[in-house]
Parts: sequence; C-alpha cells; structure tokens
Amino acid sequence: MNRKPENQLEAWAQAALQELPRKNAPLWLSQRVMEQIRKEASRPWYRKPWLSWPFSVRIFSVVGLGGILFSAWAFGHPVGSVAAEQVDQAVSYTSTVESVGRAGLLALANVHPWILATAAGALAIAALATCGFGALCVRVAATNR
Amino acid sequence: MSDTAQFEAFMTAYQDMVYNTAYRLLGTETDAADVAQEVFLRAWKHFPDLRSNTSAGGWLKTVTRNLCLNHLTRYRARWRFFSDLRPEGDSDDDEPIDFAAPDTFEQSLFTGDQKQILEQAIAQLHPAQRTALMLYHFEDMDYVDIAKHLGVSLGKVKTDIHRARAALQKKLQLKRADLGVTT
Repeated sequence: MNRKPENQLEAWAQAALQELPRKNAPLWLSQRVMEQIRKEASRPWYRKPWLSWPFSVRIFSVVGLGGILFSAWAFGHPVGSVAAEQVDQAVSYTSTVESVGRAGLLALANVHPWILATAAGALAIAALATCGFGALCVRVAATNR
Repeated sequence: MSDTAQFEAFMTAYQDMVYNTAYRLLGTETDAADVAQEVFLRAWKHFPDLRSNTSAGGWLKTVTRNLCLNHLTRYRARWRFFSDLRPEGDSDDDEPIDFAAPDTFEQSLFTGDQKQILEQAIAQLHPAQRTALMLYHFEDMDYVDIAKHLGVSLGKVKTDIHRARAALQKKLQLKRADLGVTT
C-alpha cells in the first residue's frame, strides 16, 4: 500500500464518517427497558438467581441440600440398587444395538460385491453432487451480495 | 425522586449515545436496540454506583462496545468463511483512487443525499470490514487494539479497514459520476 494515498483515504474516511448524523434511540427503547426492570422486580425470590435470594433462605437451602446429600449417602444401599438396575437396563440396550449391527453386517456379507460397489459409487456421486451444489449456492450468494 | 424515576432520567441522558455506538458497530437497528436494552439492564444492576459517577458515560460505552463485540463474535466463523469468497471484480484495494482536494470534500461531499449514500454504502460493507472501520473511526481504537478485540491478525485489520474505506470512496464517486457532479 502506498502511504500517501492511504493517509489521504484515511483523512477522507474520518471526515466523511464524522459528518454522519447521530442515530437516535427509538422512543420505545426506554419503555421496553423499564418494563423489563419492573417485570424483574415483581418476580418472586425463588425465580431469581440463587445469589439474589434472601440470606436466610440461602443458608436454609445450603443446609437442606447438605441434608439430602447426607441422606443419600446414609441410605446408599437402596439408591445403589436403583443405580444398578439402571446400568443393567443400559447394558441390555447396548446388546440389542450390537445384535442389530451384527445382523446388518451378516446381510451385507451375503450381498454380491458388484451390487455393493455400485451402491457405494452412487452414494459417493450423490455426496459430491450435494457438495458441488452447496458450493455453487454459496458462490452465487456471495456474488449477489 | 424514586430510583426508577432517576434511572429513567439517566437512561434518557445516555440512550442515544449507547444506541448510536451499537448501531455503528452492528449495522442493524434491531441488533442495536437489543444490545442497548442489555446495556441498560446491566446499568440498572450497577445503578447505585453509576448514578453519582462522573464516568458513567465511559462505563456505558465500554459495556456497549464489549456486548457488540460479543454479539459479532458469534458470527465470526461465518465472516471468515465468506471473506475467502470475494466476488470476482470486487477489488477495491487494487484500483487507484482518484482523490478530491480536501477543501472540495468539505464543500461538496457531505450533502444530505450523499450522507444517505454513505449510510447505505456502510450498510453494504462486509461485517468484518464495517466493524473494524467503525472501531477505528468512531471508537478511536488503533489497529493493534482492534486486532486484539476481534481476535484477528493485524494484517487482516489493516486490509479490512483499507478495503472498507476504498469501497465507501468508490461508491460515492460512482454516485457522483451518475449525478454528473465533478470534483
């Protein structure tokens, strides 16, 4: 970049931009803000962030949460068995998915290789066509900007 | 005077400045209004400190600028992607620019119509270019600060600002040529 034209351009831009009129805030802005403030003030304490709860309630909530955690630990056995049941259920889902996957692989193994190759080729062409069309759309959008 | 009445007066005093700053950086009225609202909601939370503070205007301007930059950051990935796809023939930086003499700028550039054209040209700038240009010319930030705030390289900031200025200049010159105005 040539320094002199650049300085002239900068001076021009500075002068031009400083001449632009100030954008005034819309009249409804202050009304919207005040409305939001009133709405916030009228919310009950339990719907506000925890830090803005009354001090005594915050203390009580900490003690209460501590009590719940202690109870869970003290009566851990029933809680533990519920957890174990959940894990069992998750494992059974996993084995179902695994069985379906194996069945799919078995089915694929019995399909003629030419059919598989044709299907893979068709998929690849479809993917490339989608990417090409997407790129074309982006270029057209950028050109019309 | 109640707290809310005082805050309303405070807002009336500063809302144009906040809105104008947000509008210049974001380029749309809707986004500027949303950011201005967020700024004043934050100001309300700090109002006990701000009401008697002489630098409240500076605080508001800084918060506005930061919220605008946060807002723009969400779209940065898109800017980067599209900035690599500049349309062919869009080479503002490569063409020599014919400058008018400084006194001619003062006399004939800033008519009402041309301010309108300039506003439109700014609105059509690429977001990355517009933001960098506005931070430089309206927020008095230098290239290094702008690069730091936008999280881009110094070279990109310089290029974006140069291209933005050149694009504005070119659009105004084209319009003047259309109207048969000579410089």
